[in-house]
Amino acid sequence: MSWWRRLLRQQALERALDTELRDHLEREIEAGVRAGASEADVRRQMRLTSGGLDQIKESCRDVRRPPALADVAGDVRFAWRMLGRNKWATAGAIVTLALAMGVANTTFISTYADLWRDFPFERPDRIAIMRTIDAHGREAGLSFADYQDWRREARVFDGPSAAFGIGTISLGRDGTAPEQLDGLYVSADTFSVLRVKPMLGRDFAAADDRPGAEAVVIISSNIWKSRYAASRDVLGRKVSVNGATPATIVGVMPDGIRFIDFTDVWLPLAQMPGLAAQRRDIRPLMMIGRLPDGAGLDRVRADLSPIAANLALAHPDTNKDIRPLVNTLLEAYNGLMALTSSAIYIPLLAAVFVLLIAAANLANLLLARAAYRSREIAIRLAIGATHWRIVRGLLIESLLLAAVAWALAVGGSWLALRLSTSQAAPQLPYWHLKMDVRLLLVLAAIALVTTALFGLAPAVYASRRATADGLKEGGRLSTPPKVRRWTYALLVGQFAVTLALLNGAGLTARRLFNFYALDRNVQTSDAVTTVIRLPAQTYATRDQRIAFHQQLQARLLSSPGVVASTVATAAPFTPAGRRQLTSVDGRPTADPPPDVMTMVVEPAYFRTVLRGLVLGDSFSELHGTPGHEAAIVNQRFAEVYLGAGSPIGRHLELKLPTAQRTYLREADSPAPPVSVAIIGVAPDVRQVRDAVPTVYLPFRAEAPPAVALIVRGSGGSISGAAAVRNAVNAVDPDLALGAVRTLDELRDRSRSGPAGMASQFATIGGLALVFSGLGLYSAMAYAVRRRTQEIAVRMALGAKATQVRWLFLKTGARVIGAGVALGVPAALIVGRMLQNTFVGTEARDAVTLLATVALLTIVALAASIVPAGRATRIEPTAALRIE
Amino acid sequence: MNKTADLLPGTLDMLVLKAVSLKPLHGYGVLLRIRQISDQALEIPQGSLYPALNRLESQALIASEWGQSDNNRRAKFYTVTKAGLRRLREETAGWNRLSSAIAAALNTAPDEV
Repeated sequence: MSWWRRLLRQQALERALDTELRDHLEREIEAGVRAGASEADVRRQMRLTSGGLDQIKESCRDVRRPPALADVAGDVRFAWRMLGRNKWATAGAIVTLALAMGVANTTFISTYADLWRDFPFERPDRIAIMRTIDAHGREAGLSFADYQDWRREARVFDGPSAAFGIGTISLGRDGTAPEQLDGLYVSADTFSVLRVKPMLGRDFAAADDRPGAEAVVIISSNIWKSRYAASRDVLGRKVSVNGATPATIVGVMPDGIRFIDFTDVWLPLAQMPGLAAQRRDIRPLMMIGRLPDGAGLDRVRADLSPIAANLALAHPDTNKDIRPLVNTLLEAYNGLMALTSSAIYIPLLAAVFVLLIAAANLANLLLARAAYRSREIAIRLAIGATHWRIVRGLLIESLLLAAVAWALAVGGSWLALRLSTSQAAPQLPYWHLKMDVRLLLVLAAIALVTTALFGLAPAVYASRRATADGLKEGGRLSTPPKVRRWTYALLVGQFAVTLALLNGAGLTARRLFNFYALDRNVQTSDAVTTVIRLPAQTYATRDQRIAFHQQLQARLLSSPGVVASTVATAAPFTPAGRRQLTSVDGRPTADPPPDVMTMVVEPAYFRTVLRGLVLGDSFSELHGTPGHEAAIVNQRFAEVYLGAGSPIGRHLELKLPTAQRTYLREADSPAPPVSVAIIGVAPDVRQVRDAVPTVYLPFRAEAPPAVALIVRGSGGSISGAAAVRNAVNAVDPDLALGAVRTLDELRDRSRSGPAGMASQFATIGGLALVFSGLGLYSAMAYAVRRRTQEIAVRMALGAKATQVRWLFLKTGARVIGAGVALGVPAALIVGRMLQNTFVGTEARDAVTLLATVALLTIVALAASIVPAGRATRIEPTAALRIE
Repeated sequence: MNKTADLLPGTLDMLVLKAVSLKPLHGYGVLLRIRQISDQALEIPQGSLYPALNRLESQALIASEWGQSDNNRRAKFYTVTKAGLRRLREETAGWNRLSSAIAAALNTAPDEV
C-alpha cells in the first residue's frame, strides 16, 4: 500500500471512529433523558466511567495498529516539532554537521581516488611490476640483459611476462608539424599481460620486437583524434620516429588506455636506442607479469630471488647485491607508499576528527537541551512513559538532525565535485574523482554511529533522572554538575583536536611560504620554456649540438620581442639530474658518495633565469673546454659541503651515477669522475621541493642532447611560444617540439601538491576552529542564561561587573588551558606524521605551535567574553522579578 | 452499583462475541444486548467497549459494515466471523470448565477435606 493510501485509510478510520462514538453518546443521552436524567448528568456520568472522547479514541488507536511502529511515527513528528521550536540552535547543529560531513566526504573521495585508482585493465590487482633494489635500498629498473634472464627462468607468472622502458618519442614527416610525445618502448607481450587490445589495427607481434625489424607504432586515441583527425586509414600510414627512423602505424588503442600513465605512442622494445649494447648496470626497464590465482607477491619474490642471486654470482661487478623489487601495479603508481603508509591517511584522519568535533557540538547541544527539558521528561515519565520511550524519542531527534545534515552534505559535495572536475584535468594517472555509493553509505554509517553515540549519552542521562527531582526543580533552568562535566570534557577534547589540526595547517602553510620565498630568486615573468631533444641520429656529436644551439639562439635573439635566451638541463621547478660528489678539495666524501643535484647551464642562465650570482662570476665561453673545468655551486651546497671560508677556488670531483633510477630518464653513459674548480655561488632555487645542494656545470663541456630552452620576452603582445616554434622550425624543420609552457605555469604546477595539502588542511583546521569556538560560545551563553537568577542575586548583593565577568571567563580559561595541555602532544604527533608526507614539513616548529596556541586562545576568550559581558548587563531587579 | 458485577479480565471480548453472534449489532446495541442478556448485571463502559470492538475487528474475529439503524441513523454494524464463532466456542467451553471448577472449589465444606 502506498503511503498516501495508508494516509487516506487512516483518515477514514478516524472519521468512522468519531461518528461511531458520537452516535453512541447521543443514544446514551436519549436513553438517559427518557429515564428522567438531565443531559448534563448523563454526559458527566459518561466522562466519569469512560473518560473523554479523546481518551477512548486513543485506546482504540492503540489496539488497532502495531503500537511500536505507530509510536515511532509519533516520536518522529514530535522530534520534528521539538527541533522546529528552537530553530536557530537546530539550524546551527545541522550546518555544523553538514559542513563536517561534506568535508569528510570530499576528503574521502579524493583519498579514495588516490588509493584505489581506476585502472582500465582487467583485474589490475593481479598485475605485478618488477624492478630492482640495491644493498643501499636504492631502487632502479632492470637492464635488458637481466630482463631476458629473468623472463627465461621465471616460472611463476600466469601467461607471459613483458618489459617496457619510458622515453620521449617524436612523430613527424607525416604531413603535420613534428611533435614530441610521451612514449613507451614495450616488448611484444606487454599488451597481452595487460589484457588490452587495439581498437583499430593490431597488437605488436613477436616479429616486430626483433633487432633489425621494421619499426611499427601503436598510437593512443588522443593522438589519433588530434593528429590524424580520427581517420580510419591511419593504419599503414608512414611516419618518422625521433626525426630519423621511418615507421608504420599499425594500431590505435581505445580511449583511456595510456599505459604507463600518459603515454601517446608505443614502439616495440627493440626500437629503444642502445638496447642491444646496453650494459647490465644500465637499468631503464620495468617488467610486468600476471599473478596466478591464489598466489601473492611473495611467490614472485621467491621465484625471482634465486635468479637474481645466480646473476649476482655470474656478473659480480654489475649485479652484486641487486635484488628483485616486486610490487603490485597499484603500489607502483602510488609511489610505493600506498596502503601501508600513514601519511596518506592524514587528511582522512583530519576529516574524521572534524566530524568528531561537529558531533561533540551536537552532543553538547543535546545535553543542554536534555537538561533544559528535564521537566517535560519528568512529566512524561510521571504519566507513564517508559524510559526506553524517552531515550528513543531523544535518539530520534539526533538521528533526524543527522539525516538532514547528511542530505545537505551529499548535495554540497556533489556540487563541489562538479565544480572541481569541470575546472582541472587530472594530474595523476588513472585518478578519477567521483561520488561513490559505497563511500556515501560509509559516511552515512559513520554519521549515524557518531550521532547515535553522542546522542545516546544525553538521552540516557535525561531519562535516568528521578521523576521527582525533575518536577521539584520547577521552572528554574538548572544543569546538574554531571552534565556540566560532560560538556566541558567534550569542549576540552574539541580544543585539543583543533590545536593539532590547526598546527598541521600551519606547518603545511609554512612549507608553502618557504616555497614562495625560494621562488622569488627566479625571474618567472614573460619567460617560456620547452624541452629540446636532439635525436642521436642527426646530432651525434657534442659539436653538432653546440652548433645547433648557437644557431637557435641567434635566431631567437633576432626575433622581435625576445630579450634573452638560454639553455639548462632542467628549467626551474622541474626535476634535474644528480651526480655523486666523490671528493671535496681532494678529500673523499662519505661512502657511498652523496648525490648532489647537477645542472648543466649556459653562461647566460644566471642572469636570464635567476637574479644573478651571489658571489663570483658566471661561466665564460671558454669554460667547459679542456683545461677550463669549472663549476658554480648554490648557497646550500656551500653550507653543507664547504663549511667556513670562501667557496671560490675550491675543487670538487663529480661522478655520473650509472645504476640509479635510470628508468626515469634516458640512459646516461658512464663517465669517469670530473674534477672542477668553483668560480661562483648562485642563490638557492627550488627544482622540486627544496633548495638542495646543487652544482652548475658549463653547457659547453657536455652539451647534453635533451635540454630545457628558456626564452624571455619583452612582455609585449608577441607570444614567446610562437617565437620559439618559428625559430626551431627555421633551424631544423624535422625537430619535434613538446609543450611550450611559461615559467609561471611550471611554478604553479610544482606548488599544486603542497598548496592542495595546505588548502585542505586550512579548510579542515579552520572548520575545527570555528566549530570549537561556536561550541564554547553556545555552552557559555547557555551557562549565562541558566545562571541569570544567581547572577542577579550576586549583583543585588553588590558583586562588581568584573567579578561577574570573571565567573565565566574562568571556565573559558580552564577549557582552553586543558585543551592546550592535551593538544600540544597531539600536535607534535600530527607534525611527525606530516613530516613523512610528500609535503615534508618540519615535525615541530615552535613559531607555528605558538601562533596556533595564541589563535586558539584568542578565539576561546572571544567565545567566552561575549556571553560573560552579557551576564554583566543583567538587571538584577528585572531578572529577579521574572522569578 | 451493587446490582452490577465487575468484569473479570478477558471476559469482555467473550461477551462482545456472544452479543454479536446472536444478531448484527451497532456499538450501542452491543452494550444494550450485554446488559439485557446478563439481566442488567453487567454494565460495559464506553471506554472499554470500543477498544474491545476495535481489538476484535483487528483480530478478524468480528467484521463491520455501515448500515441504517432503527431511527434512520447511519451506524456501524458488527457481525461475528467464522473465526469469531470458533473462538467463542473455545472460550465458552474454557469458561464453563473454569467456572465450575472454581464454584466447586468455593463450595467445598470443611469436612470434605
